[in-house]
Amino acid sequence: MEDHKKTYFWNAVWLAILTVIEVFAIDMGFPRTGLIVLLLSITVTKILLVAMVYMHLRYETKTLRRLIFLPIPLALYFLWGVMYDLAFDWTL
Amino acid sequence: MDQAITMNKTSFGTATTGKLGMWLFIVMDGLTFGAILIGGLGLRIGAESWPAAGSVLNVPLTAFNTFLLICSSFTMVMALNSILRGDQKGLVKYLILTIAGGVLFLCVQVWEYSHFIIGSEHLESILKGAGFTGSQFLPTTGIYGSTFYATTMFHGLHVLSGVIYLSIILSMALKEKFGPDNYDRVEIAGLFWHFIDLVWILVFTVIYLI
Repeated sequence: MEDHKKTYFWNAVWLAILTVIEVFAIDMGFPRTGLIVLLLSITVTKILLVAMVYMHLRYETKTLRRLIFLPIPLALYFLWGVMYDLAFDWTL
Repeated sequence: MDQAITMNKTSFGTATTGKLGMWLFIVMDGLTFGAILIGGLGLRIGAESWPAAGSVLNVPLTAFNTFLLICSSFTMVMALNSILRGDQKGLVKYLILTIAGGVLFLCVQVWEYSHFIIGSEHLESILKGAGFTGSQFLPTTGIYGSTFYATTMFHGLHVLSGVIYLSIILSMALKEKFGPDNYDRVEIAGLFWHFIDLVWILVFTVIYLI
């Protein structure tokens, strides 16, 4: 198997840089919606970097990748389902 | 050690059953985290007020913790890389570094909790500014406190499990039970550890930054 030392190292560097960007972004005075979109975009990028490089998903077959990413729409469906309860007063 | 059983090559390539089992566990565990985070998000949308990012929680400290997990993910993948090249010393060295990263992460988290639980006048003024009363930040400090502790404690338990899991792998590595043709258990343990890092990336954004 190839030695991926450099790839692993630069992946860690990019993850650290993206984390620093996230931390500074919250004090940059961005509009709330823009900030949320930015932070979630960076988070998805970081998650993909970990999954594809460190967890070696990019070397796995399409079938396995599909099986792993399939539950994400289910989670979004769950979010949609939870929204019905928002009218409830949660003050305890 | 017995040769790991591999699945049908056309569907799963050279992935072993153990690896597929870990992926199945990761997907299920990921959905559990998803439910906790989405549930917390639902409660947050329904709550009257919610503290701004960084007003109560220590973002720089947690960013350091995120950095720790990123580094430990790097050392974990380097441990696998070492054994693939037959480097037993490298495997042991990187496993120790990964475990140390996990332990340090837990120590920082315990320090953060103790700071909140012991409380202080400074914390009281911060909490007052965020709309809470009292000098301690506890799981009973409104829905915000419940969401924070439930999510981070659940993740912390995963880190603790990962540290124990990797310690077992380390004890096997010290007995030279792994090699370039027998690295399946290291790879599977690595998948779990990277998953812990992956989930923390999401927890950090949702709980601390947004």
